[in-house]
Formats: sequence, C-alpha cells, structure tokens
Amino acid sequence: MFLSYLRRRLAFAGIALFGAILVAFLVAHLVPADPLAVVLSDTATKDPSIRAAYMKRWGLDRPLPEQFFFYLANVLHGDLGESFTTRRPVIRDLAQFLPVTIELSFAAFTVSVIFGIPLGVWAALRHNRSADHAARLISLVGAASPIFWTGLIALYIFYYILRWAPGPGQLDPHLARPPAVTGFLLVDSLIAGRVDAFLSALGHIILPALVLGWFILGLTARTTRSALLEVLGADYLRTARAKGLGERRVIGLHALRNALIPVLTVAGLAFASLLSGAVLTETVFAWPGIGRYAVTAATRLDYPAILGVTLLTAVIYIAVNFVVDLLYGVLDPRIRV
Amino acid sequence: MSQSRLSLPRRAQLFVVAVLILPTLVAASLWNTPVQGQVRAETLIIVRNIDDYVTNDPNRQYEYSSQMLDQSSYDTLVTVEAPDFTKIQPKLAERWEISSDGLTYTFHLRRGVKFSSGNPLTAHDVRFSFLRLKNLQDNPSFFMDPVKDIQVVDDTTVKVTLSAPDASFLAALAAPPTGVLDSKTVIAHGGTDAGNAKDADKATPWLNEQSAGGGPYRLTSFRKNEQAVLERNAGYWGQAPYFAKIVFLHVKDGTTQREMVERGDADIAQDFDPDIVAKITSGTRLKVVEGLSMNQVYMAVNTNPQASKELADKRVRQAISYAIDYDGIIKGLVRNAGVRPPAMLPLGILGVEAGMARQRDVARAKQLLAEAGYPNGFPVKLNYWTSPLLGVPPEPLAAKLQADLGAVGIKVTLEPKERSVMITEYRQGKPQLMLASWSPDYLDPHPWADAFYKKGGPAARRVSYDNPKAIDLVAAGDRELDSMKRAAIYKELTQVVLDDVPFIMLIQPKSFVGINPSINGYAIHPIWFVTLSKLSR
Repeated sequence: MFLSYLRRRLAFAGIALFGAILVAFLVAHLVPADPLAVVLSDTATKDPSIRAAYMKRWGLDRPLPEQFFFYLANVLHGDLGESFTTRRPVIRDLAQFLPVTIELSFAAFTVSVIFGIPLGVWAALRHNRSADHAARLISLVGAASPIFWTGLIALYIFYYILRWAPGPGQLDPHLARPPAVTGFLLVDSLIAGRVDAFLSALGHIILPALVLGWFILGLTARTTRSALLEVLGADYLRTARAKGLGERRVIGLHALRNALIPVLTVAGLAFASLLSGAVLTETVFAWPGIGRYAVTAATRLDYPAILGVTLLTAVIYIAVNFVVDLLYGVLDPRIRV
Repeated sequence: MSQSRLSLPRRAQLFVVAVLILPTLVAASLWNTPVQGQVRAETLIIVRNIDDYVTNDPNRQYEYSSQMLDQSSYDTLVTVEAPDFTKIQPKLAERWEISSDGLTYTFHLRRGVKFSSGNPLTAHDVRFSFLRLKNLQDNPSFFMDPVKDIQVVDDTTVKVTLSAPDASFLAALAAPPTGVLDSKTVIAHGGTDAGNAKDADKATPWLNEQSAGGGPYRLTSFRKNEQAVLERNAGYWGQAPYFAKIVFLHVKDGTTQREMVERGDADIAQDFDPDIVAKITSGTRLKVVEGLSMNQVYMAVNTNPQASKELADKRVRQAISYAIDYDGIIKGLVRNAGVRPPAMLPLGILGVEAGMARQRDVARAKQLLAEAGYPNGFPVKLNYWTSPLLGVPPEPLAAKLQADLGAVGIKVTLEPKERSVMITEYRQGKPQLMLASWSPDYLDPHPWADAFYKKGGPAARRVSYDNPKAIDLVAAGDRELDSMKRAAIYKELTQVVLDDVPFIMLIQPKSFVGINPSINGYAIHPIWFVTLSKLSR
C-alpha cells in the first residue's frame, strides 16, 4: 500500500522535475539577450575568436534542442554543468551555498515556530481581547513588512545603535572558518571543536533569523489562531473537559494536536519558500547563500546556474511536501494512504 | 464564547515571555568582543561588494575586485601610481630599452626575486605569463595583441618584439592581467602557455582560491559572495607591507558599510557614493578619501542611418550636444562630485583638457536643428538599463536628458530594459540614443581612442562611427613615442570627434571611500582602487 503510494509520488516528482527544467530552460533562452553579453568584457568583444571560444566551451554553438537534451543527459549523470560566472561546476557552487541558506532558513523556521505557535495559541485563548489584537498586530506587521526594510532597520537599531548584535556576515572576520564538513557553519564549528567560531556564528545568525522568521511567524501565528478557534468549540473538547481533564491537557493534548494540521501545511510550504526566498535577507546581512547566487545567475543569464538552482528548488519543494504529507499521517491517523 | 474566560496557565505565560526575551539576551551576550591588540592592529578589514567576481586567475579576470586582489599578489614589470598616472615606474623590471624603431622592448629584471612559493622569478616566468595571457583567449588577452614575439635572453633579460610601434605598450604592462605568474606552480596545477591553452589549461580553478605570484601579498582563501583573504608574502623583495593580513568582506550595501567602519568593525568601506558621503555627520570615526575615477558615464548617439535617419545627420548630433545642461547634470545628479572631459578620453591621462568641453547653447542647438531640416524637432528613443552606471542612477539622468532635449523640440521616449538585454542590443548597434558607462583598461589614451574613435572599435562599431580622419589620428597616436607630440595628436582627435559627436561625455565621477582615521596611505587608483601594500595604521 505504502510502496505503491511512494512509487506514484516518485513518478509525479520525476514529471514535475522535468517540467521545471524545461520551463526554466525555455524562459532563460526566451530572454532576448546574449548570455555572453555580461561575461564578455567590452574590450574583448573586438576579437571574435574569444567569443567563439566561449560559445564552444559552454556548448552554446549547438542547436537549442540539442543543448537541452545534452543538459538532461548530463543531469542524469549528476553533472549540472559549469557556471559562466564562477567558472566552477554548478554542483560545487550549490554544495557551498545551499547549506548556508538551509542553516539560516532552519534558524528562521525555528524562530517562527517557537514564537508563532505560542503567539497563535495565546491569541486564540484571548480571543478578541487586547492580547489577541497585539498578537494579530505583530503577525500582520511581520507579514506585511518588506524584508529588506526590516533587515536594514534591525541592523541599524540592534547593530549600529544598540550594539546588541554583531554586524553582517556569518562569522567574525578575525576568526578562521572551521574546515567544511557538512557546510553548516554551526555544525562544522562544533565538529572542529571551535567554541569561539560556534558562538560567533550563533550570534551572527540570530538577527537575520529573526528578520526572516518574522514573516512566517505571522503566518504560523494566524493559522494557529484560526485553527485553534475552530477546534475550541468542538464536541470532543467538551467531552474531554467533562471527563475532568485539566484545561492545560485539553488544550495541549486535544485541541492543539488537531489545530496543528493546517499549521503544518502552511509552515511546511513556508519552509520551502524560505529556502528559495531568503534572497533579500541574504543581501542585507551579506549572507553567502543560495538566494544571492540565484539572483546573480538570473541577472547575468548564467544558464547552467539558473537551471541548477531551479532543479534544486524543485527537489526541495517536492521533498518538503512529501515530508508534510507523511507528518499528516502522524498527527491524524485518518489521513493514512 | 465560553473559552474566552480561559487563560493560559501561569507557567505557559512565563514561557511565552521567556521565549520572546531570550533571543535578545542571547544576541546581546554571545557575539564575541572584537579582537584587540596586535592581531587587530595588523589586520586590515575592507568591506566591499565583491559579487562581481568571476575568477582570480590574472590571465582570465577582468572584474574590479579581482584587479585589486591580483595587483597585490602578482607583480608586474612596471607600475603607475598616484598622483601622476602618466609616469611609468619600474617594478619587476629595473630598467628597459626601447629600440629606435619602437618595435623591441628589452626588460632587465630585478635579481634575486622569489615567488611566494620560494621559486626564483626568471625571464622564463615572464614569457610563460605573457604567452598564457595571449593563448587563453579570454577577456584580458587583448593586452598581448601588439606582441609578435617574446624571447628569453638570459634569466634576467626578456625581449618583447611588437608587430607595430605602440606608444601605450609600457602603460599596459602595469595592468594586473600582465602580472608575472610562477610558471612552475601554475604548470603543476594544470596550466600551460601553449597555443592550445584555451582548451588545455586547467589551472584556473586552483588560481581562483590562491595566488601563484610574487607580490607583497598572497591570496590564501577566496569564497564567492563572502570573503577574500590576503596574507603578507614573507619573502617579498620590496618593502614589507604593514598589514599581516587583509580580509575583504562582502557587504553590498554602502550604508551598512559605513556603519561597520564607524563602529570599528571594518577599516575601509569601498562602495561610497555622493549620497552616502553627504549623510556622514562630523564627529564620527570615519574619514572620507576622494579621488578622481577614470570611469565614464556617457550617451552614445547612433550615426547609422538605419537606426535613425535624423541622428545620421551630423548637425542633429551636434544640436543634441548643445542642448544638454551638463553642469546641471553634475550638480543635480552626483552632488557636484564629478568632472567632464570634452570627449571619451578621461581627465588625468595624456592630452586631455577640460577647457575644450562643449557648453550648453540652446540657441545654437535650435539653429542646427533648423539647418538639418528639423525646426520642430523629431522623435527619438533613449535606451538605458536600470541598474546604476558605475554608481550613477540612470533613471534621473535619462529624465534630465529628456527634459533638456525636449527644450529644443526633440521628443525623447525613455526605454529602460534589463541590463543583459540592453547590453546585447547595444553591442548589436540597435539603440538610437543609449546611456552607458566605460571603465579604464589601462592608463594611456590608446584604449579609449581605439575603443571609441577607431572604425570597428568595440564601442565605435555600436554607433557605426566611421571617420577616416579619426582613424588616422588614432593610428598616429599609437605610433608617436614623443609624449608632447602625442598629446597634440589627441587634442586634434578631440576636435574631430566634437564635430562628429558619436558619443557625448556626461560625467567622470569622483570615487569615495570611507576609512578609519587610523589608516594611512590611502590613495585612490583608477584601475585597482588602491595599492594595498602602501596602506598602514
């Protein structure tokens, strides 16, 4: 039963991935610009042999369908091509930049859950009272403020004025980076036994995580609030109370468990969007992650990098959705496949 | 509702409060106090936008940040330093002779120079580096275009033969792409100077993350979008640089850069614009250093009748050049932080006089339009991309030009496009009017004259500029080795192109950096921004 479900999901995933690559490939090539326009310097354009060497090196001299199938065949062999702008295999770029973004996203996600769910619960329990309004305001402002703005303001206040937070970047510039094992700085510094690097990295991640997490915090809090409000009037809660259960167990064990299902959906999707959407936070906080890499790739028409990021984002979305579906089953046994 | 009387258990309330306060406290306490003392004093931290990075291989790079890194990790034969950028000074080459026909350059190298690897630097390394630069067929390969042959006479003598006399050749040898590489190390990592180097050379990935040169510093690590680290080359032949370590941090935003310098977390901020400078209040721990860049913001005027029949008429192009309020642009757009040379040769190089610049003359513009048969003006399109042109925002500039040309009856439609799209169209010679920018290749009039005023030059062909007189003058300037006579040639060229108006020079912006007041020796360099080895605290 589960295996056939898994097989079906994997088949769909394959189709979705193929579609994502095809669309990204077509869109990138539809832009009426020369992909070498940005990488070839003005003076170098006077020599056509330089251009020809570039075209050949990246296979741009071949017909478009051939380029596409050539790319697909390479992807199946685990080769995502070489970036125009970093002159490195795209897979190496992704391996460097993705963990950095995952680390930040995970921190932001943690922030949003540990702030968002209690905030939502609090708001629901204090429905229509000042606490509820305050919670709604916090989440509304979080969801409505552009991240580059909150980021700059947060840096200004907490770094420049108050000096509570360190400046932009992942690590104090005086500290040597621990050797990359996992690519996650916090983990790598612990592996290397570098407490100084760990503390510095932790200090550096808090402000961007708060800024990035605030957006989903609002989402999580509002979803928790409305889901909990819906559940609070349900018959089974009255039954639970009638059985003499304490209010804390009623809320914690019965109400919240059911209310968390929609929260999970929202948070799961938000996590995936965090990974691809950390661009602005990464810019403001000089965070060397995948978001900035993707933007550079897009503005410079770096085809291999654009396709690599698209493929990766698609894989992450599919994987996160899959995990969310499995978690449904854990929270609500009725939704087993 | 019944549940409204419910309140969260006391402990949970405390939990919520704790959860809200905790991160703030953690943030306040965890980040380490700045390193003090000797280590901090000998470390220089520079904040800069380094996302222009493509490669650090000196023979392949042509990006701003890499020029600076390579300049301090690879020594060149000669150099050009502030304040006189027309004076060529010896560096790896102690002295040189130029044959009377201007074709043969014999360089005598300094003795006893070693690369940071410990290998001795010889004439063979010079030959290897020049040939590799040429044969990689990459962005900076044009530096070797004039070269016909390179001969190793002995370990410290190298003879370069040109195919034609080239008065700019020495100046080109000050540019970072012509830096000398340690051939043994480069070959050990897959490098080659052979004719098929463009396919066979595999050393670039290695050279991206460390250097193989003999400059005052060596590149010890590079992480794209994050940081670059230079460390002092202990065996450097020249004066040992003050700073043991230089860390470049990638910070894109100029305001954040300013905050970091003011807070003492960085020593130098390199991406200041006039707006940021204007906001700096007195009494802050930050000093602004300014200098003239050799960057140019200009408007191309297409002379090709297929692009615009009106613009193909010289009188119309002249009319446009008389209609523009140049002073208003420099005052209003860059807070007066810029100058304006008469043509596409920048102020600061040989043969350029600010006094020759065209001034606004609306009556004359109208008269020229009438003579050309357009007394009521004509419609024209102005293209530009939306990202800044070397720090100058293009939108207000385009709007200002639209207003200025509108005042003489020319109806300008603004057509902004994405940068990659716009560069493509410009290189194809499609736009009628186009806002663009140019930054220097090396400090001699040749690269500008060749690009803008010689038929088929990389910029000239975008506006189909073709005047035999200009072609002759560019060639004469290349040949003339006497700098007085050469300056006169470029002045004559300026007259010719002011009459033809294929390009209208608008702003040569000033450069600004913010530095900690303890930093000494900062002088802005138009090519590599600053000579890092001259900095001290």
